[in-house]
Amino acid sequence: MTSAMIFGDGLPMTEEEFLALGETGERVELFDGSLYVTPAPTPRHQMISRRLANALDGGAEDLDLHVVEAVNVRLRPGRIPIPDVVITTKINFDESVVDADRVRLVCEIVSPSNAATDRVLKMHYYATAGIPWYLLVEQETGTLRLYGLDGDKYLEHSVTLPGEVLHLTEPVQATISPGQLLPPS
Amino acid sequence: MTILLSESAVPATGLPLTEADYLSVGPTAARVELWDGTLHACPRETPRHQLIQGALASALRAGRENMHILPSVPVRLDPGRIAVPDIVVTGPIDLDAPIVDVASVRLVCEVVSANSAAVDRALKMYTYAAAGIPCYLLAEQEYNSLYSYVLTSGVYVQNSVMHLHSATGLEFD
Repeated sequence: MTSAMIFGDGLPMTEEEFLALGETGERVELFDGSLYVTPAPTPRHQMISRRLANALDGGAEDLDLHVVEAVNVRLRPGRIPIPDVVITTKINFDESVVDADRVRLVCEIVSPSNAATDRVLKMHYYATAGIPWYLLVEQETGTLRLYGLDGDKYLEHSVTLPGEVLHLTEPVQATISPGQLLPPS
Repeated sequence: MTILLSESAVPATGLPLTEADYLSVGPTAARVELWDGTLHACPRETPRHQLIQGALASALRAGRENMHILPSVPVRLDPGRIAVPDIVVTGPIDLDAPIVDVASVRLVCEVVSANSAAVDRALKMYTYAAAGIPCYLLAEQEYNSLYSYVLTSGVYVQNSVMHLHSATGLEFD
């Protein structure tokens, strides 16, 4: 597929075109007509994602909530990121896009030095979409930054540094320590 | 399936995209920016956007004989961050180097459209300030206004507001 095919008519990419791209090795997200392409994640990133999802799973099951990794989330028509981990209410497990109103918590795993898109842009988008909790995990240290929705903005709720423990109570009960998320050094 | 933005494939090695990857994408129908290892491919702007961009570039030329007024050139904000602002005003630069270094940028201007609003008002507001660009002009079509911001202690502080019409001489229905 060439750029001539993707933006050949010069018009913003639609949801239909985006979903027609199908499965890709890279992470491809749709934001208001623009396509964001990120190379396939590293093993470090993937291990953190899985361990975090595992840590949230028990508490989610107790409340009939679900933990899924790397699925399309529709924040609004034409705005479809792929957050690393989400906690959702009841969803259709065979639909390729989850609607934001089903999402209780969204998590992004970031590199601390260079995550402007996750910290600034996506934080804004997730807040605008009304997702109650936003969790940022720093992939070098496992540091957990939890933000709670206040109106249309996120406020910092807690920061959990290496050596400390996050006792999560909303949207699920979970105990998470940064160290348990990281691959062996 | 591998996404091809051009004749060359976007690499899927698990490493963040670099400046070299950005340049290897080559010419595209999309405006392509690099943000911390992610490639942003944006569709072409509307004629209305281009009209405003052109009028602002003309307006910015006045009194700036020793500077370059450059629409839509890639600017390296820092390694791994390459934006393509609507207009930059620079001091002397190598006009044949494909990417302008932010150190020579005196002013950056974005014309906000509905699809770029969050990027221009949030992401770029933050990252242009972080890169030390002294002045940020934001042309808001929605509010028919031109906002100017001056870098003060590392953040942009609003300096003035003008009617877009006064700044560009353009009439809109």
